[in-house]
Amino acid sequence: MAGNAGGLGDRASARLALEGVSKSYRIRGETVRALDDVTVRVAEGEFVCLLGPSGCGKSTLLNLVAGFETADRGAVLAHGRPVRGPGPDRMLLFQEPALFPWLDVLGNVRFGLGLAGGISGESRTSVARQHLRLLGLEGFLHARVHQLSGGMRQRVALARALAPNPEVLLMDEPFASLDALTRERLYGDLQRIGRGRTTLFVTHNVREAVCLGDRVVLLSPRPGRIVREFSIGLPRPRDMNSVGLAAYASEIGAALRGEARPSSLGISA
Amino acid sequence: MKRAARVLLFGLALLLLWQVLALFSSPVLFPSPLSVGAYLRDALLDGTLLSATAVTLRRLLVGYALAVVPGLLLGLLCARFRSAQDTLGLAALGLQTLPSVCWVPLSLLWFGQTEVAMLFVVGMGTVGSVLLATADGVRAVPPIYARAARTMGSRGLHTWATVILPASLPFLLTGLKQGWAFAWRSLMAAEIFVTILTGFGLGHLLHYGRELHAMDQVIGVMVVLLSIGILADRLLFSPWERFVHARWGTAAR
Ligand SMILES: Nc1ncnc2c1ncn2[C@@H]1O[C@H](COP(=O)(O)OP(=O)(O)OP(=O)(O)O)[C@@H](O)[C@H]1O
Ligand SMILES: [Mg+2]
Repeated sequence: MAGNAGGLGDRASARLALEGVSKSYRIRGETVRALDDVTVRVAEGEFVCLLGPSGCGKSTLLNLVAGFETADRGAVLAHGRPVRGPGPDRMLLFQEPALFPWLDVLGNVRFGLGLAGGISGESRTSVARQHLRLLGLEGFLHARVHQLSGGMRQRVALARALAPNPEVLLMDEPFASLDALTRERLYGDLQRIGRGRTTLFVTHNVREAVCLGDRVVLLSPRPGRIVREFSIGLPRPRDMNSVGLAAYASEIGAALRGEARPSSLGISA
Repeated sequence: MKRAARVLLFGLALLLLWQVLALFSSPVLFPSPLSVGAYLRDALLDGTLLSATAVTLRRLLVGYALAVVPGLLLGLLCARFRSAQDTLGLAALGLQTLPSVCWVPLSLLWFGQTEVAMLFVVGMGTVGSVLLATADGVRAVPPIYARAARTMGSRGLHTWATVILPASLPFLLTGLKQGWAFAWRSLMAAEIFVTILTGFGLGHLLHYGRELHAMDQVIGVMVVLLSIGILADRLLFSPWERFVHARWGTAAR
């Protein structure tokens, strides 16, 4: 299948690699095959979007790479070495912001910086402020988490993930719960400050995938398999409403519908 | 300002109601607020009230502290290890359901009529509930917090100290407060029950008020106990509760 056709990045040079990975869960005695013989490689500096309907194993795949789960079969490699557990070299940005309510905005962003090591308290604060400024949150350094809007929380989470400068960023539908306007702003932010970072981005939104990805990988549900891959040759920064983007989106959308049952599609094109 | 006025008005209304009721009943069984006030003034002036309050508060605070430290630590242990929960947790559950006055006979036999006996009763009444509340609170922490911390590189003790503990603060606070209530009840039961020669507490004052048929003393001491309860809550727990509400965005005012 096209799953092995990852044109960008071969096994040796890939920053992230899943090689023939399978993963099943048992739910009340029944086996759910979340991923079946999946091979994905992400090259250094590449932005790869995983696209697929709900329940096709996207979060499972990210959890494997992040080190929260282990594969039944196959290999999960980061920087050429097997993944053994979670670590700051593969920062996972969850679907929910998962900010710490006992810390203020600045404290949340400083948390990861404190773990990065080798950064003094003072420069920690200035690096955190700098990232918050980039995301338009300089006026909310000492705000409480519950005082922020959903989009602002997601931006704080993004700042928290980016500030320690992780080699690899893993993002699990981080913008799914936001309105279209806020989302588009964040696409711009992400392309601006996340540029050139190795990123694996999970989504079920076709346009989002085309807007952000160098490459879009299509997953089918039950069992999760790789169906096709698309290289996106559009210049950056990309405009959500451009004709070129729409052309890609309609082609990928058709491919997605061709594979999956229409009722299980979660596409908002 | 408005809230203070409201409290004042409420207090005055209670006093008035009390005074009216006292007019229609026997002063031997139901003394008026004025006679209770007179008792409180005299007891304050001759020093009995202050010294009894000091004795009781010292027992309460020391006994509480002696119970809270192991309660918190063992509670964390139970949250972390299944085996601890199955054993220690069960013991704590038994301890919590056992009314703490039940410890008094044993305590007297072991320690005699001493301060230690009082502290023992307070401690045994408190430790179980603090332990259980801590274990439950830690388990109630959403796992996403620990996962977020781990992906940022936190692990082991660091995760416990910087994420699990602060995240369980709202629950810990409830547990500490409940423990305080248990400690207070245990101590009063013990003080009313036994005379301790080394210190004459508020419970004893209450007890001897009954023996002497001095109803003004009985009610006066109860007023003091009530005030201590309210003050302790305001001084010990309210600041933390305000902190939690402000940070977590609960109970908006
Ligand atoms: N911890 C788990 N225990 C049991 N089954 C699980 C677990 N995690 C995932 N699964 C199952 O694996 C399959 C894939 O789940 P996964 O969360 O990876 O899907 P997803 O593609 O991320 O979906 P969505 O877009 O809705 O987030 C589902 O059928 C799900 O029921
Ligand atoms: Mg998911």
